[in-house]
Amino acid sequence: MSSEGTIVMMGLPGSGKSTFLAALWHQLEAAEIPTVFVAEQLQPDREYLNKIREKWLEFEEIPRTPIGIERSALLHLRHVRTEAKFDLSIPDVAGEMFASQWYARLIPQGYVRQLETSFGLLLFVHCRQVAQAQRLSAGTSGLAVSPTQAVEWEPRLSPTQVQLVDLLQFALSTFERRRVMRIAILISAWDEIKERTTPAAWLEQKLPLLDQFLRANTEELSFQIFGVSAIGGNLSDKEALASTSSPSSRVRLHVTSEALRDLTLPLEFLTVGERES
Amino acid sequence: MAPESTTTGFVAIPSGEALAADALRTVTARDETTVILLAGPIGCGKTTILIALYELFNEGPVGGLLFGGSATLAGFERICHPGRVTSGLSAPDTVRTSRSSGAAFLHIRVTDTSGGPPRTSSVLVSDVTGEAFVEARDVSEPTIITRPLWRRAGLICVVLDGEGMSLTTKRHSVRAGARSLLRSAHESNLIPHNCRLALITTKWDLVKPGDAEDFVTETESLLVKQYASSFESVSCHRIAARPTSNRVPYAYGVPRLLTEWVSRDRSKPAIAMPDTVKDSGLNDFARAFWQREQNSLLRVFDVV
Repeated sequence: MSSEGTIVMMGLPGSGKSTFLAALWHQLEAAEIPTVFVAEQLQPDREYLNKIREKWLEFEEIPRTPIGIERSALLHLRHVRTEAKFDLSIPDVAGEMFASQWYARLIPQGYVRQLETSFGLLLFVHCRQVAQAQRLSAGTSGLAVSPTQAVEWEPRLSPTQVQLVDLLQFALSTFERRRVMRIAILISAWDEIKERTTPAAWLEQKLPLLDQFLRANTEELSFQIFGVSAIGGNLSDKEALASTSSPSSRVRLHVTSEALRDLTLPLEFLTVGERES
Repeated sequence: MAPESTTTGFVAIPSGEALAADALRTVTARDETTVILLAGPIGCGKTTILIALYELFNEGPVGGLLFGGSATLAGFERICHPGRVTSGLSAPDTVRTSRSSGAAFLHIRVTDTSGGPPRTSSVLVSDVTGEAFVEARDVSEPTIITRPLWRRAGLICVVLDGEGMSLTTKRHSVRAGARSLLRSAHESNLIPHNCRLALITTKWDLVKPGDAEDFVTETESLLVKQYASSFESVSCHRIAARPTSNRVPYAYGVPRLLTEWVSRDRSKPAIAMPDTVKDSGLNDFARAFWQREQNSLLRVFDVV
């Protein structure tokens, strides 16, 4: 018997949700590398997944998911180690929907229902799209610009980490209270981070408010942080990307400095729990 | 934080702006909560303290405490905006809190992980125009921070303008303002049992060592001597939330203030016993029942 449930992919626009889904689908469908989950059977409607996978295979940008049009992947998976079966629904929701939660304080009812019963969250953060708060220096006093130059506050000006904490706060308040909510944080485009660091250390340094929020709420949530390069490198260097032995093996997934390939590892954390190392 | 259904297939979620006095239960029902009144005249630096605290959390843990969330993220973002590059200003500013916004509170949830199991609590801090405290000084039944709100406070922070105290022409007015606010609150029976007092001298970077610093010390001693007996405890803090010189770092004194805000004596009730209970002539049994069950009762009723 299979466990059925939803995995919610959450993230601001351009944070890498669809690219991850395309690469994940390819790894499951093509079975080119060993993965902790295998696809037991294909889902009936594979048009959307195959379309984004095609772009991923041909090193093209995957267009942003249009707002209001929700595509969903239904994956019938078997966990190799435990033989447990899962039917996972992974809706690909436009990042604008998550942004509008912060801006407009409105969210679709369908999303609330998904949250209530989900296994957990995949929270995407693009490593190059982190807007941080920059404090003005108080060296001088008074306003040195005319009122016309002053910018009124609006929510879109808020730092990325504030918007992400707001998303998680709402998800936590909606989630079934009986369970601890599992969250896999996926820092996408990890290959673009040149300094030697781990995903957890990067999050603590770049998004300290989010990092504190996660560590402060361990009674209600459990989290693991991954660095992911679903493309495997820079799209402008297609020759280098194409030089890997198989498309699946150009993927990089980091928990520590060790480079892994298996994109089903975050799903394992959300469904089965933490791996014993 | 429960969403409200709309007719368009969307649900509306709370605004995240500062909470009105009648909305505090959204926080108090969930966490052990200390209600804090930041009391002081216009321009003494009350809002700037809140800005500095939130901006520090944006950079990392504060005073060893982790940021555990806030029901008023948008409210904090709004007051921080004039101090950020995105405002288009070239120097930080603080928007005066308007009287029309009434009694509003900002919320921060913190978790202490320093030894033992994590301990989470919340603070609700007033962000109210200084006029409210001028009113409380001048009349026995204030209308902005009303009597029930005063009676709900676990901590009253009297904010003294350090810049004013460094000027010989203003320092006695600053001291007299604080003293008469405390006297008025005491005589009008606005101060609840088990309430703590914090004396906060702001703009500490502008208080020159010597004469001005001595005046601050003398003022603190005077206020402690006169009013300590009305409170469970008294602490003194010197703060430069947004210093204009390099003499002290940004948010100087704020981490220690936060630890004071959350360091309630846990043997005492989180929120003062309502007047209605104390004054109603209930017998000792009822009193003991209230002491034992107040936390669960306060989760159900918004008792003030």
